[in-house]
Amino acid sequence: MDELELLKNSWKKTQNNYPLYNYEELYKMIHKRSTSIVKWILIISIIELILITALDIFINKNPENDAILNKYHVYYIIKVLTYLHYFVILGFIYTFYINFKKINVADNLEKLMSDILFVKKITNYYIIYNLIVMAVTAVIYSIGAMMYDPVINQMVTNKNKLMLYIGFGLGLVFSFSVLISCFYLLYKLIYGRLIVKLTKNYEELKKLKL
Amino acid sequence: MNRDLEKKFIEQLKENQNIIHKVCRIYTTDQDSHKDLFQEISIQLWNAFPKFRGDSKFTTWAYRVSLNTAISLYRKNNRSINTNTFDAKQHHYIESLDYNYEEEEQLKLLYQAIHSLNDIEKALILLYLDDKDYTEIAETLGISEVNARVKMNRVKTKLKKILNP
Repeated sequence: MDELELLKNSWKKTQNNYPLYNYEELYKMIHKRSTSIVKWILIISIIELILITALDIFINKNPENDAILNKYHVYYIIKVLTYLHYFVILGFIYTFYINFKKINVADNLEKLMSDILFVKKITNYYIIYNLIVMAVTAVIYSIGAMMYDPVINQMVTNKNKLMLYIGFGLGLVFSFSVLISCFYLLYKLIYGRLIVKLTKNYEELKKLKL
Repeated sequence: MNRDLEKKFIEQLKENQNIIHKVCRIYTTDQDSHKDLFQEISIQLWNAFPKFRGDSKFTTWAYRVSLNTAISLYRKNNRSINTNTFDAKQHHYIESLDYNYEEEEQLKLLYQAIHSLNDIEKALILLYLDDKDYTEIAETLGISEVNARVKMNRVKTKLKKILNP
C-alpha cells in the first residue's frame, strides 16, 4: 500500500477527536465580528470614496472658484465636466455595490477569489479616474490662466512665452508625479499587507490552469 | 423566525464542526490561530446560511465555505512559520487517542509536511485525505478535472519527498 494511503487511514482515525465546542460557545462565536479581507476591502473602499469625493466637493465649493472660472473663460466646460463627474461617481458606487453583493463565500474558490479581487480593482479604477480628472481640470485651469490671467499676461512677452509654457507644463507634471507617488505609497501601505496572501493564492491557483 | 433559523444553524454547525476543525488543523499551526480561524469560518457560514438552499448537503456546503475562508478571506497569517514548533500536545485531542506511538509520530510528520505546502496545495491534500473524487475537487477549486488530476499527482509526489528527504 502506498505510504500516503497509510497516512490517510491514520488521519481518518483522528478526525473525530477534535475538542468540540458546545452550543453556547458556537452561539457566542457566530455573533463575533468578522475580520475577513472582504470586510476590510469594503471599509477601506468606503473611506476612499468619501475622502476623494469630499476633496472634489471642497475644491468645487470654493466661493472664489466661480469667479476664477469666469475670469479664465472656462466656466461652462468645468461645470459640464463637474456634473458629468458626479454622474460617473454614482456609476462607480453602483458598480461597486453590485459586484460586492456578488461575492459569495460558497462559490468555487477560483470564482470567489476573482470576485473579491475585482471589487478591489473597481476601487483602484476609481482612484485612477479621479487622478485623471484632477489632471484634466488642472490643465484646463492652466490654459485659462495663461490666456486670460492679467497678471500672467503682463509677465508674458513674446520672447519668454515658450519658456512660460514649458515651466507650466513641468510644474504640472511634477505636482502630479508627487501626487501619484503619494497615492501609490498609501495604497501599498493600506492594501499591501491586506491582500498579499489573497493575490499569492490566486496566482497559485491560476498556475494550476496552465 | 430568525431565532429558529439561528437555532437550526447552530445545531447543524455543532453536529458537523469536525469539518471546520479539519480545515483549521491544516491551515494553522497553533491553537490560538486554530480557534481564530474556526471563529471566522463560523461567522462566514452564519452570514451565508440564509442563502443556503439545501440543494447540496450541509456538509458539502460547509466544507466549501470553510476552505474558501481559510484560503481567501482569512486575513491573519500564522504567527510562526516554523512548523517544527507545533506540539501535538497543544492539540490535546491527539493525546486522547489509544493508537500506537509510531502512528502518532507519523501523523505529526504528515502535518509538518503539509504545513510546508502553499495554501492551494494544502487544499488539494485535504481533499485527497477526505477521499473526494476529482469531479468534486475540480468543482470546489474551480479548475478542470484534468488540471486537478495532474496537480494532485504533483502535490502527492512533493509531499512524499518532504516526508522522505
